[in-house]
Amino acid sequence: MKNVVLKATGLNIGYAVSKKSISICQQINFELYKGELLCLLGRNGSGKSTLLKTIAKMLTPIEGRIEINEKSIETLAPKELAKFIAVVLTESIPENSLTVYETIALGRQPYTNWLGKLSKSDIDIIENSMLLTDTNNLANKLIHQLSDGQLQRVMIARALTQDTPIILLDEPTSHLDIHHKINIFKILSKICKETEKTVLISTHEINLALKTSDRLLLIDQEKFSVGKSTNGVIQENLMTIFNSDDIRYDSHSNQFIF
Amino acid sequence: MYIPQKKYYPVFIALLVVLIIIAVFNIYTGSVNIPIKEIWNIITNSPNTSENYQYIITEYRLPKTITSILVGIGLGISGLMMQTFFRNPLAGPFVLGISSGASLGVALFIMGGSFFGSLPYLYNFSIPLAASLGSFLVLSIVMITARNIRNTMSILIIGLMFGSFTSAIISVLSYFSSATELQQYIFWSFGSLSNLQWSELYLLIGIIAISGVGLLFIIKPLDALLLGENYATSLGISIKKTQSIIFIITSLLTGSITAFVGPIAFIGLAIPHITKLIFQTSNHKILLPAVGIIGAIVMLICDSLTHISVGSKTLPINAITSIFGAPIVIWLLVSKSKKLGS
Repeated sequence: MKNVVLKATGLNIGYAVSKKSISICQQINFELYKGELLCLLGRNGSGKSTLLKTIAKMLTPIEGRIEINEKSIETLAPKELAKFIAVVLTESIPENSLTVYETIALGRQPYTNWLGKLSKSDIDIIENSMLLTDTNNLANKLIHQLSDGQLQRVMIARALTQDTPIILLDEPTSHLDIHHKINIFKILSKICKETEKTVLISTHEINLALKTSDRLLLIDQEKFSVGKSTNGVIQENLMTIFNSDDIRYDSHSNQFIF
Repeated sequence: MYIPQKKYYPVFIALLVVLIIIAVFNIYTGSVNIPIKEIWNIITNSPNTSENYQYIITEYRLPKTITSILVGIGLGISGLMMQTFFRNPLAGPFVLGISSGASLGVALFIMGGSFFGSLPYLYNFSIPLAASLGSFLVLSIVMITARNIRNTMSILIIGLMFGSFTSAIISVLSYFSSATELQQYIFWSFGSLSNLQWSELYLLIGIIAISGVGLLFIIKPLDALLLGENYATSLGISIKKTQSIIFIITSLLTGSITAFVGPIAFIGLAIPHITKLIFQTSNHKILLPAVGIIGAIVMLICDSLTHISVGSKTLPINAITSIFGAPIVIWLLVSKSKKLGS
């Protein structure tokens, strides 16, 4: 029996344009299990970010519900939800003079007192996440002095520090070179194994996704599907999403060939 | 793993010492020359003091010094909150339309006579009252408009639009008003730190103390907002609730200050920048008190500078804050980027 950490039923996602809501994808049903790494694939504009933001309650679904531990996220107070879901977003961070350590420590906010005082156990969690993401040598740098790859690791460390069963990442490897892309995916699968957290990544790195993920979530043309990459239906869907004259899915080696 | 924490206590203690020295200097300066020894006697309540000196100190200079300190604290803190909340270094305490509202209220009171017939004159309460009503009105309109807006940047623009709108109305009013009325309005817009009675000071102290309690609730949300609104939400911060608290505190602080001393320009915008350059941190637990102390110091210096007088007249405070403040901020920014080598 698998341990369900998050369940979405009859989800209809989209956004509001002057009092009318525009649906991007309907009939989304899935369960996320404890300790698995999932990749969310789809073309640009297919609704990957919208789905992640809906799960994180930054957007409200048009229909349907999302449950964590059989409680709808609608009924969860913001501070409670912050103890279940941590995020790494694509948006750039406003100009500030936060150090890496301060940024990562912000992840402890849902647990600290009104002054944000860090206890011994908070500091242990921060240091542990820095070790896992290999950011401990950056601790005293300002986050605006970091390279894209370093910043992404710091933001992952910050999400880890929030100590949630679920971490959502929105295209964590865009802007990164192939070396850093692989590095980020390695760190994420290490996190999954060592901390038993559920990690959901939206990405355009199809091949990396096929190699590292336990299951795939696909969004295409308002249709949603979920399953293992060895599953026949999923492979067919993958082909319809990404196949073109220039790119082809090779089911034998389970990867896309350019 | 050892994370060296920056130590801020020495800087705070140094700043407090500077504050005290400048406060004493501020009491010392003025059109009448009072020896330091006399000031000491008055402060320590020693019996052999001149009554004239005592009157000048307790009824004029001491209230003015305290006003300067309170104005610096209030405007500095409001400016910092607005800059963090809007994530815009150009935001200041007046972006919500408080200053434009106050100006409109006072302009209508002083210059509207030619339109509405003369308005009742309530001695020295009428102008603060007109300013408060004006700020309250414009602030309420901005808040009601802001309530249905998701994008915080739009609130900033709405505030600016109200600023243009009210200044246009004031232009129309001044075009039709008499020279005396116009002069009276312009004198108000220069700002004045010396109009407050002790009773008004107690009120201002009370308002700042209440705001201080409110600040305790938003230290963490302000820190979280440094990462942007979405990250703050994911950390369990309610943006709407934080926005309400920040707007209420800013309105209380800036509104009451503007009502009593006029629209003091520049301080609210510049003090947070100066503080961040000195402290090199974004941590609001450090920045909020630091902004208060540095704001008080700068206001005291500016007020003292108004007395390097031309004849018996003191210079307008609103001019001093910008004449001396702007070059300092530019210099700090230039020297900072030199240090970083960028």
